[in-house]
Amino acid sequence: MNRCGHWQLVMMLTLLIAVPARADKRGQEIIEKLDRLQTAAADQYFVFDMTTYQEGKSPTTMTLEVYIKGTRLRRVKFLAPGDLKGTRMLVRALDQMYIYLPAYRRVRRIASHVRDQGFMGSAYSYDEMAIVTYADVFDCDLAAESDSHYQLKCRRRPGQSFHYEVMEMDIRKDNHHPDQLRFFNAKGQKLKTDYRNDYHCRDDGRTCTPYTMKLVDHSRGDLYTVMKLKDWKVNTGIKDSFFTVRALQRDR
Amino acid sequence: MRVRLAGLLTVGVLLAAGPDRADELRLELGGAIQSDLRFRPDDKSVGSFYNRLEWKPGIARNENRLEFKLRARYGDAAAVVELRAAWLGWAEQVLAIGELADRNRIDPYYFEARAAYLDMNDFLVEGLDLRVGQQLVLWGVGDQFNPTNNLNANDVEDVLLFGDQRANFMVRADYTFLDDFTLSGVLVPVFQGAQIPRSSPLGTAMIDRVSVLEDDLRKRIVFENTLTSYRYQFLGMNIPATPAVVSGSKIVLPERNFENMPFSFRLAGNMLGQDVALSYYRGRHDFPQPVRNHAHQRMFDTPSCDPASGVTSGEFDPSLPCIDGVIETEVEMRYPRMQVIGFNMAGEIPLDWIDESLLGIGYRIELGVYMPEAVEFEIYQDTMFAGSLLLEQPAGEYDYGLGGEKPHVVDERVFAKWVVGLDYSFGPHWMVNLMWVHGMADEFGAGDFLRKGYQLRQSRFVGESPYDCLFANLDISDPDGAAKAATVCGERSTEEILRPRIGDYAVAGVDFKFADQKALLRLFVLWDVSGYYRSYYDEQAGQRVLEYLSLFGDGFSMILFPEFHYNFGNGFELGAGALLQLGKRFTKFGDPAAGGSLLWTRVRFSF
Repeated sequence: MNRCGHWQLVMMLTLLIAVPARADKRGQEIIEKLDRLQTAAADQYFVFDMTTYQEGKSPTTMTLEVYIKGTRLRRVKFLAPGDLKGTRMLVRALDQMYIYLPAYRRVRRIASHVRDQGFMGSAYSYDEMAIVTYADVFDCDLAAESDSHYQLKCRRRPGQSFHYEVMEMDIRKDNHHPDQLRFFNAKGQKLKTDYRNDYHCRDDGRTCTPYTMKLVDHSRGDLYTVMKLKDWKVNTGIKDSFFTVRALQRDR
Repeated sequence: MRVRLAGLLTVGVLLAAGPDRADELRLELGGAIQSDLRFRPDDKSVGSFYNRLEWKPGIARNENRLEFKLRARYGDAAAVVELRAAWLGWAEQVLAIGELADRNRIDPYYFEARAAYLDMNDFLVEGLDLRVGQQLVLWGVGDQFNPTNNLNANDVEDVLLFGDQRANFMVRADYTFLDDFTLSGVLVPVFQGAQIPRSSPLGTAMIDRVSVLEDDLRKRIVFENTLTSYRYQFLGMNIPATPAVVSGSKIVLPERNFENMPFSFRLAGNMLGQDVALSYYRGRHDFPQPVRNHAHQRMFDTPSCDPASGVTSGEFDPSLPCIDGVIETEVEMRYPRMQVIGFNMAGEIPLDWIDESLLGIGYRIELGVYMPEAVEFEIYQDTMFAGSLLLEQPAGEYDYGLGGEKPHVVDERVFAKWVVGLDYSFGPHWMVNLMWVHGMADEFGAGDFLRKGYQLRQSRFVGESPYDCLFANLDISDPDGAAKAATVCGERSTEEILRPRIGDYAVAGVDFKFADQKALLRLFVLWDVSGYYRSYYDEQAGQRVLEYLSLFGDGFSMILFPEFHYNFGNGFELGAGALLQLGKRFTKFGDPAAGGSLLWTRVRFSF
């Protein structure tokens, strides 16, 4: 799998140099279908254990719950450890984010520059935590196809501020969800690899999610973070008013 | 006990898990244990030998505290309690032998309710929220400096927790409409004053900081305070030295009635992606202002001399550092009324027009327009120099020489405080926060770079002998001759250090995160750029002049606040740092009442 990935990476980079970035129709259809599937549920609720591993150091674990609705509304609340417990975040748009810090007992608007900061010391950045749909951020080509997978090669669209210039995504044909994403910078260096396994589906198979995700940060000595899904619900009926500053302040 | 605690926490986590259901009681428990150890490197003791207040180098704080939080939620109702218990580490008072058996005396502590309120959401009508109880209402978008956070009193007891506020009982209603707009109203049944730093009493020893606004009267009082602290011999008569000291202060809280209930309204919303709010507050300033002095002259049986000089009281000799009594002054302080119109705005400024890779820069603007009630100041005295043909002053109200008017410590001119801030991250490691702060929480009254108005920071008599000056200008045929002569001497022989009443501060903070964000190095700098002025009588010009003191020289005043934090994970944290308050004693941060510099360490476990 890895060898195959490297070979395809070399091929893709060659193509990248030779061909100006422009999405092919097939690749764009595949990524748009993925977006539709990922947002098929009206809303979703997750509880994750998020553990970060680094060689020679003790792993650190956080527990967080996440609500998403539509393509942009998102709320995150930390349940553990104690120093983060009660910290809440609201994303209404990539340029409209808020954080509630229990120590200060107030909501603070945060600007999108914080997306440059890592997410609580984990391998995840705010961008990876926040992205819900891909077709609006990337133009994708179908780079390769096997019996089981599509492999997309995607370049960031002009005007998009997502951190990574290039993304490769391996999409399973059985459930049309990715099991591996690779992020590159403009020089073609692989910065992160995102593994997504153990998919479960709900809502008559219309909505699927991985129960295990592993993100490896190659720029930090292959530090990696594993997110294990502890609870997942779809179509809970949560209202738009839950995704407001008012609700964030009051922890509704 | 440990098993039971762990069991409780598990229950809390289990109950907290899962999305809300109206028929389910959700409980969340949490808390922290924290130990603070701080050292004071500076000697900030103040006063002369007769009113000395010590603030010496050594251990400044040795405090352990326990915090407990509980949140219960059932449907649209929630209850929140946050309690803090702190053990102070030592007894401030000298103990009697019997008190050594009293644990409360040898192990002092305090409790604080940081929150204790009930929340009712969508109460009666959708969009209406009600919160009743001990709470904070923090509407300001500025970082730590918030001129529109007026409902709660400031809590500046711990200088490291700058910007903290005291929870107070309030009734708050918020009505949200059109998703993004909220109209709020808050009523505070009982006004609370600010909690001031432990070093604040040092300020009472600095009687040269006369707070009267009227220039001539202020300089005259400074002169008269100098005069009474000198011994003098005149026509064979011994005039004793009885310097003024603050013997006590009385803080008068507003009566608990409807008239004295602070309240506030706010309309907040999001427009074009920017958070905007307008607010109105009617209440009181939470730092008390002096409104009345009552002076009483107390003569000693035997003179008291400066022990450092080695002089013992003997014959009356004006050249010796001895006093014959004191003028004890009781200060009465009250909280002045004010109204504040507030404006807040926060959001981000896109930078992608410069380069696509640049993310938006955060900005925040907070403005408070203050309309204060004028505060008059009264001075009363008992009979002074009783029995002295030349010096005796009758008991009663002081003659201010203002044509029957009383002097002021706050005038009714409108003034503004504001904060303008920008923040930006440079990659995953660096973050910078810049602010212009116009007016700190304790500053009150008109006077800044826009409108003239000064605060006296230091004063002194610069002539050879105050009595020589007095007698040289005294017209004994004029019943008001002594007051007039004192006014002339105050004008010509006092030097003052002045500062705008509302200061300006350049604030910069830099965060550097490393070790996979477990470690944080932070440096905060607050530079007082208000400007200090030396006011003195220029013999050649024949008038008083203001001399600007350089921000890099005598007018330099700054806080350097480097700190280091390490997060071990799972709630364990360690911190250490220094709060360096730099500047001469008359400056904002060099002021002894500000407490001086600190070196600190902190360990904390949160659960």
